[in-house]
Amino acid sequence: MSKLSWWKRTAMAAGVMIAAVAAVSVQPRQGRSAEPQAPAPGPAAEKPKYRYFGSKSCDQCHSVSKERPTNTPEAIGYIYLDEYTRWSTEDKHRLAFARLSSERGRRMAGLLKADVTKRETGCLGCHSAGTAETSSRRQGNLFDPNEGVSCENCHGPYEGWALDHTQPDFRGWDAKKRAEKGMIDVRVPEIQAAQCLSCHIGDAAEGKVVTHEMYAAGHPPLPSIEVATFADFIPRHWMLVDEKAADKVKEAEGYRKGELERTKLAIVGASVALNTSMNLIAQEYTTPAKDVPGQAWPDYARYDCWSCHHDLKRESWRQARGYEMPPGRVPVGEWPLPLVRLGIARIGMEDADGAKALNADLERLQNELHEQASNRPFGREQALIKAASALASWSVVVTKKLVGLSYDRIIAFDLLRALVEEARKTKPDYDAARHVAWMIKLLVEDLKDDGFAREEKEEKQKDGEKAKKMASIRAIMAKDRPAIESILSRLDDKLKLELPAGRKYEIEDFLGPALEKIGDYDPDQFQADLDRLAEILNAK
Amino acid sequence: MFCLALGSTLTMTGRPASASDPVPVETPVWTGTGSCAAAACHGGRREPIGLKGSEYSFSEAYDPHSRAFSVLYNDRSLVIERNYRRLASLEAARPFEDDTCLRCHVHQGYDARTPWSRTPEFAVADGAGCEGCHGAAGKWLVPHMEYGWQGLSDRQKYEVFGMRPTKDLLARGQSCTECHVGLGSTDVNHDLIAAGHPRLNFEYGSQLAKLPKHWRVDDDKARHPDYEAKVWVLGQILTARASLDLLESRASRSIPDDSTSPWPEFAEYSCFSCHHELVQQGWASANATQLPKPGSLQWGTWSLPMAKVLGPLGPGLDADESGSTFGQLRELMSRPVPDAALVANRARAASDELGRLAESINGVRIGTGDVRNMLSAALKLDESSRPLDWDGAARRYLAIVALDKALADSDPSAPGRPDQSALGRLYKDLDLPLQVDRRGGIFDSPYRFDAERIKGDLRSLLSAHSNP
Repeated sequence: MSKLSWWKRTAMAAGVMIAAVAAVSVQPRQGRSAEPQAPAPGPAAEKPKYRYFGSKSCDQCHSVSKERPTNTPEAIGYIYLDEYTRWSTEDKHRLAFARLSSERGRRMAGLLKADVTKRETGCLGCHSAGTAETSSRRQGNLFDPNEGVSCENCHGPYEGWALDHTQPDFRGWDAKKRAEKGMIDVRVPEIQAAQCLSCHIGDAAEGKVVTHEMYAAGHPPLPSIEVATFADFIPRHWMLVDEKAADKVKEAEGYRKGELERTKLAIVGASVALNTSMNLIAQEYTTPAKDVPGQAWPDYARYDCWSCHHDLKRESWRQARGYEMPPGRVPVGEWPLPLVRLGIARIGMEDADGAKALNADLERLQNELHEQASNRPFGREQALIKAASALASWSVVVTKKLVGLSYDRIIAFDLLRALVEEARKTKPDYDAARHVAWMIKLLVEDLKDDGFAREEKEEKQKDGEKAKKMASIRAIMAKDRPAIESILSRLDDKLKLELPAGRKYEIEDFLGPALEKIGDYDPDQFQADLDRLAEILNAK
Repeated sequence: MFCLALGSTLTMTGRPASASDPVPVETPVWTGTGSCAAAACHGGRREPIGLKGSEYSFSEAYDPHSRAFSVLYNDRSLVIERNYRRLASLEAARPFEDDTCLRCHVHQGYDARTPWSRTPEFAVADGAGCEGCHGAAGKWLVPHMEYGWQGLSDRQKYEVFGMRPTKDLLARGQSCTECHVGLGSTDVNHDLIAAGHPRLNFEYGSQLAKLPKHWRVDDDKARHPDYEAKVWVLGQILTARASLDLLESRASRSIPDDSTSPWPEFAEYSCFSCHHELVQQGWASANATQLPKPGSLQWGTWSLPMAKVLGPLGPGLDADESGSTFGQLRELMSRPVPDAALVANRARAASDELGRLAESINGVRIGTGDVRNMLSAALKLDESSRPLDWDGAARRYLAIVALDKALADSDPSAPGRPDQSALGRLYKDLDLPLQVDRRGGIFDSPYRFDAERIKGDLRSLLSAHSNP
């Protein structure tokens, strides 16, 4: 039986099932469909519709082969067509399952007294498309967990869309239509962010939770994550819309000239990160999985790691800084907040009153979260869930506003200034500082690329005012370039902004130095760097 | 027998009452340190050291208790108060007016809201003054200067007049623990520690040895031929018991629905269970993996580990035995949110048990054989038990030093004294006193701690002890 006929059968079967289940493979979570939705804690009610088959069928088209030795954007104009090859040779996600049997994985298994390669213990939620019992995923006969985190983990199970996506009209399908067939449209920033963060922060409904017991047994800490930066480090096997050669595709994907896609993804990603982390707190304890080691309330892993895990210093910067909550209580992780506030600043450029209201909401919701997390150590379960849910729901509104806005270079410069100005007023902890630093780096990169000069030239011809602004920004960025580079390189060094990209580095080589940086982190130094950067950016 | 009876009366302030405790019916009246300080009384010539009548002069000059109040004006105290009360600025911080601080920094029992309990002469500026240990002098200030006072028994002086029998080593230790471990409202909990207050690591023997004394230790030794041994043994029980009383108080206070008392109370656990940087090869992380469940908190690491060394003197005090009183409590306390009511009950029962034990030990003389056995036990590593952590190793070091001294005292020619250079090595490997220069700052964390190296030190000490 040919593959094509198998695809046809699959597609037909899928078509029948669409009618039966409306919200196909879309969790009630932000970003999983085109429309952001409020969180609804609890296990997925419907039986999953599509099964996971793994990457073997993708290999047939999305890889370099003898018959098709090279693939360039020019070949098709919007995809490389060697995605499978890149994933299987360069991308660490491919090794996610194999890692469970590494020395660290075996040691963890021994300490947890659990077979970490079995779905019951919850590891496969992230280390494969295999899953914990709470998950909505089902596996087809071709499925092989050894593939690790493969195509379907991000793009959705292909059972419903394998055939469709080879058809010419497929490029015109929007995220909603794709979602109906089980495809996750990762071209949409909030969907892409939600998909990455479902593992890199966690999603209890999909059985993707790292508990404190797992960490204590040796799981590396999950750091703060800036989605656009992390995506580049995978390394990226897709083109940004701007990089696509096919104009029709660009048009279909809503391309706007001068739009900074990575900046947009980073800002939207921060809001989605807040949603994901708050949902994890709200959702986790309503979906306990008895075989997952350490999953019970309160799980220390839902709180800020570095509040406890630091050596005790006589002149402590935490004590010198003071506390927003009663000292000695454990806060939940809030590292996305500085960039969420930056998102509100972006909203404020269009709607000052709206931004003011959002900031007031955030302050109120954050105070409530602090209160509920700290009125006793770890807080009280139901009240904390309620506070976290409220913040999660609010973040959906913010995300929705953010995705509708544009992000050009003039805006990026204003954002950079606003970010530096806000961040230097506080003494963020390591995770938040790193998140901020990634964003600064990204904005600086977006402001220095060659496209900026070209764009300025074009603008000169039609809009004198805009071109003038651009010239002034380019002058500021160019004048103090060495000083900016030196600040960035110090941030890089102090916060370890470089990630163990692709297969070049082993996590085991990276982890030791990375953890040392956390211990060495000095918020005063970070603040001093931002002060200097603010001086440069605010120069007349 | 006399000591036994006396021991049972020593719970005047704060400690939860047990059936055998006398009920204090009157509010004690504090007369202040100034009432002791007359030149003709206790404020006499300070030098040469040791003159009778120089107790106030000596303590005022050398005993850090006298500065307990004035430290509340220093920068660190202001930061602690600002953090603890979450004040907007350091200028708003007034720790020297905060009862939570004054209860110990003036002395235990002080409460600004009860002015009638103090004579006009009482001054908070005197810090933890004479009455902090000797008891409120309202009823005994005049009588103790009168003819006939010397004829009264210690018991009469306490029960009738409220003067504490500080010559009794158990009573003396109990007055220390009320602040140095804590009890009820004198509670250095994790909130206060996080605000900047140092952790309380009470060790009766070593702290008593270091205290500049306004009395003669020779008199102590004349009264208690087993002085060194007894102070150490009672110290183990006192610290453990005071910790249990505090645990009971913390658990009980947290039970009401509207309670603001923290629970779980993190100060119950080893600081270094959580407070260690995450490194790839770290002792604290390695220890965490050896617990029944990776990442659970380790309770009682400072207050309990040496009680098991008491052997026949204190049977059943091994927290490493899962069925023992301590073992059961430890199991309860290792849960993320322990059942407060159950913990309070168990802690109360265990404290009562220790109270009876302390009284009985206080009434007997500890022999050379007992000391030798305890020293052997302190030196011996139990490889099968829980991982060796810094708290346990530091307490073990202090035990070895104290029991060595006790052995030397009871039999100066005793063979098997620990090798002093090996003891010095252990001290150094523990980074004692815990101040580690690192990254241009002073750390209170034993980040260099290496359990294997400490075990090596202990092995060489044991071998010298076993093969003198």
